[in-house]
Amino acid sequence: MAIITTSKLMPGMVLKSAVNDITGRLLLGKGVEICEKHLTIFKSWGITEVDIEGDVEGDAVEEDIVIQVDEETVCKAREELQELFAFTDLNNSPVTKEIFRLSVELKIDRLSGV
Amino acid sequence: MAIQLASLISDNLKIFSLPSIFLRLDDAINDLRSSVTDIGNIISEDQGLTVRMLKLANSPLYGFPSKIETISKAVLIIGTKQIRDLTLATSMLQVFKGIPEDFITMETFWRHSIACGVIARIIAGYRREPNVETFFTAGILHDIGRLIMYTKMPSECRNMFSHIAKKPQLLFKVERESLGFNHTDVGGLLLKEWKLPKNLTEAVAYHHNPDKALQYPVETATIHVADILAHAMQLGSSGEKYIPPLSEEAWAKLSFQTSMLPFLFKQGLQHVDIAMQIILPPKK
Repeated sequence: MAIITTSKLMPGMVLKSAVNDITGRLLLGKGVEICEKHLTIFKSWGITEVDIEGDVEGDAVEEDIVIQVDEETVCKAREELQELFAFTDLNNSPVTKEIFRLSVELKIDRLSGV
Repeated sequence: MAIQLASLISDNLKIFSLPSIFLRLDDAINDLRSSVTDIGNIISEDQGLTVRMLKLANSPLYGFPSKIETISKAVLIIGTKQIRDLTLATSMLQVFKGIPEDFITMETFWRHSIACGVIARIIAGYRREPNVETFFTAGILHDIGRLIMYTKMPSECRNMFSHIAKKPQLLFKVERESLGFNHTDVGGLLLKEWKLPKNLTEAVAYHHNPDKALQYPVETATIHVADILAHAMQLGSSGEKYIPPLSEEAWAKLSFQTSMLPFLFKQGLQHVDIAMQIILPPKK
C-alpha cells in the first residue's frame, strides 16, 4: 500500500483504492490509470491524498529535500513558533503537529526573505 | 463595579449599529418581488461598497473568466444572499471606525479577522458549502467582541494584558477568569441583538468551545480551525498572543485529512493579501 499526496501523484500511476470526495461521492474507481486530466479533477475537488499500486520509489527521499537555510534561521523560527504554540497539544495532536511544521516552514521563508 | 455583559451590549447598541444598507438589502432579498436590479440599485447608493464588490467579484477569489463590469451582474453571478453577507463583512470596518488603538492597531485586528474569514471561506469551498460568504463573514466577525471590550472597558483590558505579560496565558481564558465572560460572549450577544442569522451568531459565540454549538456545528468548527490557522500563519492578531488549542472533534467535523493543511496554508496566504487590499486598502 502506498498512500501519497496528490502533489506527488504522476500520470501512469494506478489507483489501488477508489477516490471519493468529501461527501463520499465516487470520483474515480479502483484500478484506474492516472492521466493529466485526473490531476486537475483531484485538485478542484479538494483531494489531497490517494492510495496507489506498488511502492513509490523516491517518495521518502523527496521528503528529505530541505531548502538550504542556515541553522540560525531555522532555530529562530522554531523557537518563536514554539512559544506561540505553548498552549496547544503539540505532543499528542498530529493535526497540531502538522500546523506547527507548516508555520515553521512559512516563518523560515519569511525570515530568509523568500 | 463589575461590568455586566448584558449592559455592555445594550448600552452601546446606538454606537455599534448595523449599517442601514445591510438592513435594506436584507429586506429586499427577503421580498420576493425584488429583482436583481433592485438589489444592485441599493448597493450602488454606497460608492465605496460598490467599488469593493466589483473588485471582489473580479479578484482571483472568484476567478470568473470574464470581467464583471456592473453591480447587477456581480449580484447575478455571486448570488443575492452571498452579496448580502459580503456587504456585512466589508462594512464592519466602518462600524468600528475610530476605535482607540491602545491595545492593538486596527490594521492588525482586521488582518487577523480577514485572514480567518478568507481561510474559513476556503474550507467551506472545499466542503462544497452552498454559501461560502457566510463563512467569510463569520470569520470577519469572530473577534468583534474584543473591539467592544477595548473601547468600553479599557482599564480591565489593560489589567488583563499586563497579567499575561507577567504570566503567559491565553487571553480568552484570562477574560473569563477575571470578568466572568469573554469576547465570544460579547460578540455573540451583539450579533444576537443585531438579529443576524443564528449560524453567524453561533459560530462567533462558540469559536473557542465548538462542542457547544448544537445547531451549526460545521460553521463553528470552521471558524475554530480558521482562527487557529490565521494565528499559525501569523497574519495579524486581535490581541491573543498564543495559538488557541485545537479541538480534535471540531477538526473531525470538517472531514479533512491532515494532508489538506498545506493546501489551506498555500491558498490562505495567497487570498488573504488580495482580500486585505480590497477591504482594507493601505493608507496613502
